Amino acid sequence: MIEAAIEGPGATKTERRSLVRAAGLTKVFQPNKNELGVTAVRDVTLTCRENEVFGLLGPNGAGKTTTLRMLSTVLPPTQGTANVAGFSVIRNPEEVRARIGFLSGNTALYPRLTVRETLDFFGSLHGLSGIALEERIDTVLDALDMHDYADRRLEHLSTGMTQKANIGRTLLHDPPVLILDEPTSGLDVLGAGAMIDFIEAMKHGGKCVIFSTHILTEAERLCDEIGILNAGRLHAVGTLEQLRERTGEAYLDAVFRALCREASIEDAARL
Amino acid sequence: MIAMFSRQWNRHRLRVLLRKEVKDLARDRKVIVAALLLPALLFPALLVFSSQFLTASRLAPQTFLYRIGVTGNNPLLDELIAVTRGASWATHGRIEDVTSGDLDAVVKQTRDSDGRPELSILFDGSRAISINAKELLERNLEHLFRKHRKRALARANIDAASLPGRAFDFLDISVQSARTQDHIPRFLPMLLILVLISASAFAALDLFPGERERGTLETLLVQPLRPSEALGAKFIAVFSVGIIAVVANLFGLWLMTWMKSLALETAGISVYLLLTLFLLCLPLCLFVSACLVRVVARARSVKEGQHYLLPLTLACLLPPFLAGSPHVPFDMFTACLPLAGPALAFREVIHGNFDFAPIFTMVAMTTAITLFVLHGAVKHLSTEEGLLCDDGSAGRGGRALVLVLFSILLVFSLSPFFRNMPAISRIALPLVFFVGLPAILFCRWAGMSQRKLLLAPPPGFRDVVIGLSTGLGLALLATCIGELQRNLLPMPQVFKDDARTLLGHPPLGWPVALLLLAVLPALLEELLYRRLLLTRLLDRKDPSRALLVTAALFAVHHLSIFRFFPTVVAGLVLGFLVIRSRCFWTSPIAHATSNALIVMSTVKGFPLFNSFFAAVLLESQFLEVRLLFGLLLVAAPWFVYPRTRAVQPAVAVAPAG
Repeated sequence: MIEAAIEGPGATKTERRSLVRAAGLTKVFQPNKNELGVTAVRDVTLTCRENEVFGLLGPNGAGKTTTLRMLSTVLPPTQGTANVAGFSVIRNPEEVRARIGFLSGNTALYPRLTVRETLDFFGSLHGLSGIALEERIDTVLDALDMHDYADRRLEHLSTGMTQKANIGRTLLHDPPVLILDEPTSGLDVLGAGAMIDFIEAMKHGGKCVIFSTHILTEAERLCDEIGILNAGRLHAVGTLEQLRERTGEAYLDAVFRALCREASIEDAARL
Repeated sequence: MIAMFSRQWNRHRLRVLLRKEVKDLARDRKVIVAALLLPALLFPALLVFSSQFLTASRLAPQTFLYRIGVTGNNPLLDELIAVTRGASWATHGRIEDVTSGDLDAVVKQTRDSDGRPELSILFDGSRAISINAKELLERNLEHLFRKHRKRALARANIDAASLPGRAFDFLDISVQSARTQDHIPRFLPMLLILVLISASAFAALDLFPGERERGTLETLLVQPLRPSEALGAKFIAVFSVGIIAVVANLFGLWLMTWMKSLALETAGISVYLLLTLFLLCLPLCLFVSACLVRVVARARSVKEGQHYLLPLTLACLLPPFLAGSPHVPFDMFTACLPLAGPALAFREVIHGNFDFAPIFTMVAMTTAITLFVLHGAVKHLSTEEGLLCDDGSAGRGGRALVLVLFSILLVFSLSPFFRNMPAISRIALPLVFFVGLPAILFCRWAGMSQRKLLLAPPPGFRDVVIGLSTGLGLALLATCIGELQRNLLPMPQVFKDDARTLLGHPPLGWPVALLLLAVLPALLEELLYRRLLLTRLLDRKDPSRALLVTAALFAVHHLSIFRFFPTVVAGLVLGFLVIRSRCFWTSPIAHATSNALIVMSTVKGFPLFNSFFAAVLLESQFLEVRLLFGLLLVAAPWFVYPRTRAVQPAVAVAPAG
C-alpha cells in the first residue's frame, strides 16, 4: 500500500518516492517456440517518481508502446522486471493494475454504454460500490465537465467527448501512476491542449506520469525527464538540459535527431 | 484446469463483468435479431409460408385423376362418387393398395360403436397425392354432410342437437416419421442448431474479435481482474445468448403448433415436451459456445472470425441434416457423435420415444467433448497475451479447423474414385500419394536424413511383446467399433474384396497377400505418422495435441468415412505406444499384428478364417467383453512403461542456416 503522503512539487528529486522502476525490461515476440523471435524492447531501465512526468520519445517501431504495455501488465516481459507503486508487474499484476491508470490509442470504451454506465462499470471493477462509487463518478464528471452528456451513449459522442470519458475512466480510482501512450493522437488542437493541461494538473497533483509521444513540443513543455528509445533500446535518459548538453543542440527536434543517429550508429557497431 | 480457475474467480468481479457483457449485447441490434426475433418467428413464418404454398398448390388445375378405392354399400358413398370430380374409382380397397401406391385413398364403410354406418378414409400421409386425394374427399364429404343436415333441419320438429355427428373419419396409414405433414421432427433439430449457432456466433464475434478490434479488450485487461475472469464472463454471455435463442425458438415452436391447433383442431405441443427439449439443449448450448469461443477467439478481426465461422456453420449443419432422415438410428454409437447425437435425441423425444440409455450417453459425451474444447480455450486464452492475440497464436484455431474440414471433404470426394480402381492400385496409390510423397517432402522440409529413418534403435523383448499385445487389442477394438457403427456406417466389403483378389492371383499366396495388406502399409504408415510427424510435432506442441493431430491425419489418409472412427482410435493408441515405450518399432509391430489378425480372421482363404480363435475373439457376440479386453490390452503400455521417460527425437534435425 502507498503510505507516504504525497509531497508537494517543491520536493527535490531524491526526496520524491520512485513509483515506477523498470530494470532490464526485454520483450521478444516469438510466434513459435522453434523460431527466432523479434526483440521489440531490450534491456530498458528507467525510474519515474511522484510529481514527475517521464516522456518516452522515439521513432515509429522504437518500442514505446511495448514498454508501456509491459509496465501496465498487458504484456509480460520476456526478461527483466518492473515495479509499479511497490508491486511487481510479474508477481502481482492485479495489484499493479489497481494502482495505475492506463490510456492509449488501443484502449477504447464500450460504444453501446453511456458515460455514466462506463464509469460505473470500471469503478465496480476497482472495488468501489454504492454511495462511494456514485460520489466518485460525480466528482469525475464535475472535474471533466461531462454532466451534459453523462447519460448519452458513447457511440453518439464526438472524439473529444469520448477521450474525456476515457480520461475519466483512468482517473476514477485515483491511481498514483498514470501511463499514457500517445494520449493526444487523433485529437484536434483544442482536445490536445486540454490533454496537456490535464497531464500538467496530474503532475502537480502528485501523480507519477509516464507518457510516450511523437510531438516534441509536448515533451518539451511537460517532461521532467526524457528517455530516447531507438530500436528497442533506451539510448539516453535525462532532463532536457542534460540532453542538450550531451548533443550540443539547442532545439529539441535537433536533440532528438542527433540522439537517434547516435543510437543507430551504436546499434550498427554492435552488429 | 477449469475447476481450478473457477475457484480463483472473484464472484463480485464476475458478476460485474457479466452484467456489462449482457447489457452491451442487449443493445446490439444484430444480437437481438439473431437471438430473439429470428428464432421466435422462424417456426410461425414457416407455418404461414408452407400453408400458403399448400393452398396455392391445391388451387392449381388438376391434370391427373386420383385413384380412389371404394368398399361397402352406403347412400352417402354413392352421393360422394356422384359429386366428386377428378377421380377414378376402383371397387376394391386394401391398406396394401394405398401403401404400394396403386390407390391414392380408400373409402371404406364401417360402423361406429352404436352400430350406425360411417365412412372411413384411408390415406398415406407420406405421399402428397394421397394427402390431396384425402383433402378432396374431405371437402366433398363435408359438403354432403352439411347438405343432409340442412335438409333435416328444414323438416319440422327435429332438434339440431339430436342429429348424429360427422359420419366419417380419416386414418393415416404411413409411419409417423415419414409423414410429409409431420415436419417438426425432421426440421426442428436443424433449425434449432442453426438458430443456436447464429445467435451465439454474433455474440462470440462481438465479444472477442469485435472487442479486440474496437480496443475495449485492452481497456478491460488493464483493470484489476484476471484474464480468466474476463474469459469466463464472455463464455457465460455467449452461452446465455444461445439459451435465449433456444427459448425463443421453442416459444416459436409452441406458437406454431398453437396456431396450427386453432386452424386444424389438432393437439398443440405439450409443456412437458418443450421442457424436455430445453433440458436436452443445455449440453448442446455449452458445446456450441465452447466451439465458438475456441475458434472465434483466435481471430484478430470480426471479418476474419466470419471467415472461420462459415465452414464451422456448414460443418455443424451436416449432422442435424442427416439426423432428419428416419433411417438414421438413435443408438449408443450415434448418441456419441457431436451435434448428430443431440439432433437425433430431439427427433426421438418429439416422436415420444424417451430411451434413457442413448440420451444419457449423448449428454455425457457432449459434456465430455465440451470440457475438452473448453480446456483448450482456457489454456490459450487465460493470459493477457492470449486474449489479445499477442502470443503469435492469431488465427491458429481457425486455420486448423478449415484444414480439418477440407481434409474430410477430400476424403468424401476422393473415395468414390478409389473404390472403382483395381485392388493393387487401391492399395498402392494411397501409400504412394499419402505416405511416400509426404514422407520425402517432410524429410526435405525438416532437414531430416531419409537414410537414418529406418535406423531406429532395435526393440527389446518387452517392446515386441507389448507391440503384439497392443496389436491384438487394436484388432479387438476395431471390430467392436465396426459393430457399434454398423447401423450408420456399415463397413464396406472393399477390404475383404482386395484380399480375395490378391489371394486369387496365381503367383500370390496368402503370405504375400498378408505382406501387401498388413505388413507393408503398417511399416510405411508408421514411418510417416509416428517416426516423422509425431516426433517432429512433439518438439513443437504438447503431447496430447501432437497425438490428436497425427491420429486425425492418419484417419484422413485412409480415405474412407467408414473406417474413420477405428483409424482415429488406432492412431491415438499407436501414438501413445510410441511416446510411452520410447521405441519406434513397437508401433509397426502393433499395427501389422492388428492388420494381419483382422485380415486372417475375416477373409475367406486365410488361415484363421472361421477357426475357433477368430470365432471367439472377432466373431463372437460378447461385444462388451471384447471391448473391455481390447481396452485393457491397449492400455497395457500405460502400466508397463514408466511415466517419466520422455520421448527422444527420432532423427537429428539439421540446424537452420
